Amino acid sequence: MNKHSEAYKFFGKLMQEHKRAILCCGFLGALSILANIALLSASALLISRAALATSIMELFVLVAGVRFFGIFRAFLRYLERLLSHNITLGVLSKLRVELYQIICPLVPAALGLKSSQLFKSLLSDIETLKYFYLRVVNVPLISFLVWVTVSSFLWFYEPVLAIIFALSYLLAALILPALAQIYLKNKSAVKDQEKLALNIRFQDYILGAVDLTNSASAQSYLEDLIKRRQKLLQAESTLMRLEYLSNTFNNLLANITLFAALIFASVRVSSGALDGVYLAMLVICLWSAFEGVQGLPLAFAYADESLHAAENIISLAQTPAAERNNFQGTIPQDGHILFEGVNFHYPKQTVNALDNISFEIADGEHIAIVGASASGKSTIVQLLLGLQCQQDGTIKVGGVDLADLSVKELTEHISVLSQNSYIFSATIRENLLLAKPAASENELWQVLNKAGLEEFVRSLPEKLDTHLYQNGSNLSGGQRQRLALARMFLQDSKIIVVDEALKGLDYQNAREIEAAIHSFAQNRTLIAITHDLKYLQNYQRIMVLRDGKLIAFAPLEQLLCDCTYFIELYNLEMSRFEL
Amino acid sequence: MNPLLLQLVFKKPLLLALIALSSILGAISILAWCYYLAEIIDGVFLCHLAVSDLSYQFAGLACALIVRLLAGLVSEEAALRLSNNIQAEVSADILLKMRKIGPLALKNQENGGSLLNLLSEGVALLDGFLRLYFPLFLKAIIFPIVFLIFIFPNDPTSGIIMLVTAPLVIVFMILIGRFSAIASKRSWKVLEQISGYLQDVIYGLTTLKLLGQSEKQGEKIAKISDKFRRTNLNVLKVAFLSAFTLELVTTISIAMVAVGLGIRLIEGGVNFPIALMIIFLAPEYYLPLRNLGSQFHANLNAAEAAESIGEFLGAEENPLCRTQTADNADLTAEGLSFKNVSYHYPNHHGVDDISFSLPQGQITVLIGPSGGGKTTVLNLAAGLLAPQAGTINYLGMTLGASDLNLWQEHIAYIPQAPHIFSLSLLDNLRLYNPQATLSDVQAVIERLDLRDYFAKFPQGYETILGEDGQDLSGGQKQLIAIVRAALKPAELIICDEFSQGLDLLSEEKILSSLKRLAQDKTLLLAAHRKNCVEFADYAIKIAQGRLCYQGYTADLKQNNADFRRYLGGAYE
Repeated sequence: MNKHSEAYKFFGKLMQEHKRAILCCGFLGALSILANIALLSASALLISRAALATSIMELFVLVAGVRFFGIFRAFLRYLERLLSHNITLGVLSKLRVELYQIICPLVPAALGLKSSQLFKSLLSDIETLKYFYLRVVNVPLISFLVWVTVSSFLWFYEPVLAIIFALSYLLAALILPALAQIYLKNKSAVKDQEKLALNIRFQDYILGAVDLTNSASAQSYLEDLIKRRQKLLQAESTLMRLEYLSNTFNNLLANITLFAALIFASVRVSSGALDGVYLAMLVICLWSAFEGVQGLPLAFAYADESLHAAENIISLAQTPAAERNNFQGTIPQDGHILFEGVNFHYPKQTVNALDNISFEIADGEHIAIVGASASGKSTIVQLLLGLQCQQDGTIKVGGVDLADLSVKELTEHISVLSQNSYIFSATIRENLLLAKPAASENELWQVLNKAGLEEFVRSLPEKLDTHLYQNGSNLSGGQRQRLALARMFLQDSKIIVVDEALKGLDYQNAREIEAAIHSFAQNRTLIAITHDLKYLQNYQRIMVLRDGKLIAFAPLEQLLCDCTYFIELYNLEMSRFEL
Repeated sequence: MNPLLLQLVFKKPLLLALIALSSILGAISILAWCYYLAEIIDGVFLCHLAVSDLSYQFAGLACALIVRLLAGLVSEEAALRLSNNIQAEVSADILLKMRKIGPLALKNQENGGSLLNLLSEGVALLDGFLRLYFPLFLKAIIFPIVFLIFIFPNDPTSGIIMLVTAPLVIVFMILIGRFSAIASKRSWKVLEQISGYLQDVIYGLTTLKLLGQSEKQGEKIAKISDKFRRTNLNVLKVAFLSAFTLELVTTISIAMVAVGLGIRLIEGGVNFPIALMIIFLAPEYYLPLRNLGSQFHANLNAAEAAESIGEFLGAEENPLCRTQTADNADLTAEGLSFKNVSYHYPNHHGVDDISFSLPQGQITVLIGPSGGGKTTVLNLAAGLLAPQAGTINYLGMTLGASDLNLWQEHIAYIPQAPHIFSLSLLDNLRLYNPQATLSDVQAVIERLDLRDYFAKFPQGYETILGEDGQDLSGGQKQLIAIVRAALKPAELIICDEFSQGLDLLSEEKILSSLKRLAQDKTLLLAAHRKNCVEFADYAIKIAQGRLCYQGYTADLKQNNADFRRYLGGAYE
């Protein structure tokens, strides 16, 4: 019980705002089942009485009852269904937001997770959990209400029948689910694993389609996929078999109860203790009441799945986040940056990614950071952007300690252009407005012009409203970066970080974008991470990193005189040429 | 009922027959069950018999029950298998189709999530029809017929009520079904949008954060989910209306039958056990119809999914995949050559009138600005795109006329961003040649001088890579692709420019291993750096979709000023 207490709390939170609706829905559901029982019981009693009656007038009440229940049931069912689905959809939308809010602070620092895994967790767990109410909460509630009502009704006529019913109903409600649990044990976890493995392979098959054209094994890869899909179907049928097996077992139990009740009641009628006219009614009432336990075994199975899914999400929520939220009220005034004794190491790694880094960048200064890959260049930027938290030391931006700034203030003060700047599957306008929701049409064209993209956008039939594909895959590399650049221009912040944004671009695009960045960066602080040592003369100082240590931070001419490591890198670079 | 779905279901006539047969048996056993139950109650209530006098009827009741349960089990299992078999076949069709539409078209699908969704969720939705709706539909026909055959001779009035109401139920269902089919289509589209949107948001979460927009997205997700809720609720209102009508008609009919029987019983028009039996039978008569109503939504979803699947299966195929002429590759014939080749994309231009032939056994470099058409030329050469004009020949084969598999067998293509599969390092390395042994792989790695690069994996060659496994840098991915190509017994290696920013040292490494790889092969390489051009024997410049010049680098160095800029330091 304790093991799952977090999950129960989570469920409680989900259901909180629907409490009243849930109770209401449970009663509606129980009433609709009861109306059906009542219809059949009243009909049986009507026939029995008619066999003895001499005039239709004697049956007046029963006839009215039968008609009433006949109409009532359908209305109740309709209302119950609508209400319960409304609750379910409400829970679903809350779940989505909840999960997003859990994931948001964790990206990208705290999660080693890759986005598609996040996506899987988002969708698949939510798909499971959205049925939590409908299948796990609603069904037992209804069963219970039916159990109480029908037992009381039978007690009124024949207490022993009530006891027979109450016990066997309980048996069906508890034993069946227990059997189902044993049957299902581990199977659903295995199914989930197989499903995940299959989805990864599907994705490989789609994303790696080009690579597979090379491969003699493409055919066998395909066959393996088909085989795995079949295996997964087999695993899924386990759950479906459970459904019909439990229905059959339920039916069997209901019939055994019927048998026992029929024999007992017949004996009572023969001995004169029970009026024979009630025999048919009692028997059919008791038998039809088993409709109330039908959904229970599956409810237990779903409860198990939901628990799994909830715990996945909760464990995600418990991952320590690197988010800072405690904005202290002081807004950074200028583009001054200070690092003092900063250490950082990534979880599960022994070597420091940054080792005792201290430096100062003046407001409006343009600097470049160079070094081999894994030297710590990107880590400095991640710390500065608040995406990671240093373990030791202080970082100040515009005179304010980074720890006293929330991401909001930070992002207003620093903007970044990186190779990973993402282009959303939305229109060009929407992509731009992300940076400045209030920007006017004119402003948008201005930044596009500065980024050298105006002509292109004007040439498009739908101009700013052209829809872009996921991550801008219908743009060329240069166009993507220019759009991201325009977005950065709109942010209009004091500090600009350019994180290897020109990688992979051809010479002309790279030089044009660089020029656009430099003209925009006048009077702003510019930090550029670059592997391109040829264009360093545009920067006032160059920071050289090696294995997480700052080995030099000086103007280019000085580095070329006295930093041997830099000279080595520089010579290697000069032996190549950009086209 | 959706014709696509019916087509699917009739693929398995044996299982269908089994479902039908067991349904008939089930109906008969229900009749018997009701009969014996009514007999027992009649015996005790009106004939005042003791339980011991009724042992024959009790035995009959028990037998009827057993047959009924068994028939139910058989029909459920048959339906389950029917659904599973067809789902497996449809999945296989989709996967095969993915191959046929060609890798580039596949990759360019607008939302990466939607195909995956079709495969994993869309196909599963078919179950709603195959396992649930269709068998119920059969029962909804068989049960009433069997019951009516019994009821009519015994109590025609009840028979008429039941006979009339059953079609009424069906008419209502069809009428309302029409409405909700339209609404359901909308809801499915919204669902697709949400899943694409969430994926987009998550992939771009870091960017959103850096734009200070990540908190607002939470609200937007809530807004979109809410929109989904509203659309969906509208669908459900209508969908449940069909269930409502069904329930209403059936329960009112039961009430009518019961009241009528009561009256006729008093008038002596029917005897008690028959009347009681019909009362027991009435709910069973309508049960399949009612269940059918409750699965109506599943049926609609299945129909929607079937349409999406049908649409995908009908998508345009890569024309290259259709050609089946089984020419043999002639290794002595001319290498790759383009003759007046043109290719245009639907929405941006590609390349025009390109002609060249690669010098065999040498290194050719494609130069020119990015977006100028280099990648298009490489994709054409690799058989990923079909030329719209002109011909491409290679080893005596003609692209478009010869078997594509054969064509690709003789070419190793290293794409711009090689995909790393969720397989072990070893299996990733020998992806293009699964027969290669560990020692073959090691030999190649040795030859390319890459031993150091592959020595650092935690579980060695058994380390699992990809989605769920070890992370790799861009350089490592590129090196894996080079080893893959080296292991493939192909005469021509095509290498797109490595775009994902590689650091200096990795790039040096890649180039030097490519050089080693090219020692006994023909290499066609797209490049935008000088160090690629330096070791090439032949160069082709492509800009704005046109071939500007080509020639041996030795000659070009002498007499082409533009080319010299690619080598010398005079570009600035």
